[in-house]
Amino acid sequence: MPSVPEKICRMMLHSTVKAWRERDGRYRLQGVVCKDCGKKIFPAVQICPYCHSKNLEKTEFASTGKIVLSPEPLWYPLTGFQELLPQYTVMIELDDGPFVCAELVHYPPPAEFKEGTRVEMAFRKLKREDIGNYVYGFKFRIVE
Amino acid sequence: MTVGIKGYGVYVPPFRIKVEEIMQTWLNSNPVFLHDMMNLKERAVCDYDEDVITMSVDAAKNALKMAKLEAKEIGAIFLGSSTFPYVMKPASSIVLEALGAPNNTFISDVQFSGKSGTVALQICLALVGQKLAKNALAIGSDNLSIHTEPGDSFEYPASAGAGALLLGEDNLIAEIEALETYNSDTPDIYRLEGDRYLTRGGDAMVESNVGLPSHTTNAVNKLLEKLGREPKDFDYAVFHQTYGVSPFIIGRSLGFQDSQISPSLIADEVGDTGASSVLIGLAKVLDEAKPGQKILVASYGSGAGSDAFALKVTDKIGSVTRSPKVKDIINAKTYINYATYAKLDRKYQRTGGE
Repeated sequence: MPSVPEKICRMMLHSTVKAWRERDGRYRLQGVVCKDCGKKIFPAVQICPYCHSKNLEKTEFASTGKIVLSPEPLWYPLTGFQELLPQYTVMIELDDGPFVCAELVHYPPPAEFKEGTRVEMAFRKLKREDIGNYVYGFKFRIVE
Repeated sequence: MTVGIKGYGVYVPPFRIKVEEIMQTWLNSNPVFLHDMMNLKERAVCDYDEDVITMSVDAAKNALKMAKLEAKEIGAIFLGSSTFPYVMKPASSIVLEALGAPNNTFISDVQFSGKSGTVALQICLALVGQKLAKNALAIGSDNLSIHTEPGDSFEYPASAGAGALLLGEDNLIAEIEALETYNSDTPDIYRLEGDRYLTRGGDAMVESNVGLPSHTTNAVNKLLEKLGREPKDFDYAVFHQTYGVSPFIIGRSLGFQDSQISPSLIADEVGDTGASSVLIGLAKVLDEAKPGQKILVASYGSGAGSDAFALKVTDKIGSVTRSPKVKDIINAKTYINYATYAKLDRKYQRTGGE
């Protein structure tokens, strides 16, 4: 194991496959647009949940948006690095439509935000899998 | 056609630890030495979820934003660092996908300790010059803090940060006029296979002239000779910054004035950012540079070598939008104590299940 000690997630899955398949969505907010009903869907799916069409096109969504739902900060571990509580996990409406549930980064301090606060995507380390590899993906930072 | 810089981007993690905080824990230095002699007040610390790769992506996105360029137009990405998270697996491939650059982009990681960033710059320069890539991204990024032993004297300046330069042939804000290098086998600071922490080759190597001053002086003198210029012909000089005082020591010995060096100073507030040190220094200078001004850049990497570049600022510099400026990035900060820093940098031992 590597020399830097870090908490490990998902103890039972000895594979990097799941994280690898979903990397485009995590790295660049890539989702799909249904060519039949026009709905924008994130994360990417194989079949449109609205009209059951398979006629979907991969699209990268905007990396900026606003907070639409900000529940109480979590004082129990949800996922990823579990030793920097509380976790501020919020629902974000991206500028071109889809909703994303994401964690806020620690700076600027997320203590004072409300619904409507502007955020932008930040590329961060999400967690470490039990065979040691890092999983990177999106978090959001508050734009002043 | 001349190859030059189209855009630049910088990222410095927002957490800062003051040198007094480290001093109160270890009692192994004194404020007069650090503040007045070494010109070091505080340094950056990475957040829990940041590393060389995430900082590189942030810096690269800033560079692309400045050049108003889509990631799809990048032809090469070279990432220089001495502290990659993976020993075997390129970090540049993660940067490539995170930016959304095409899969047939030339990419690689390069390692030459503190001058890794300028080595990446050399490679990109060659690729653009040979028309193998239209736009090339040279990134220098380092997290020295996490690889510095607690209680070591290098713990005071060891910091983290990233700088990215976008090279190309059109819409240049600065042209690269010439480049020179000087390398030798000098084991001053190194990290062995499997080692977590950096090793210093003793005070005779680190504190004497054999490393940083000697290599930088040789590279810069060679460059000045090649161009037929003198130190006074440059408006700015950017040197590797271990401490806030290091660029002034090197600059004075070469014949530069303090006023040429001080615009690039970052180490007093950020510390030694390793491979990104000169890139952040250069970005700070480009934030205020005027058309026609000349800049000299000289990096240093332990082990050891130095790359010296001469740049000429073009008229385009007036029309670029810099958001954010290097000063704003450095000033956006929050102070942490030693315990938090030790946790964020995972400077602890754990057993069982982890």
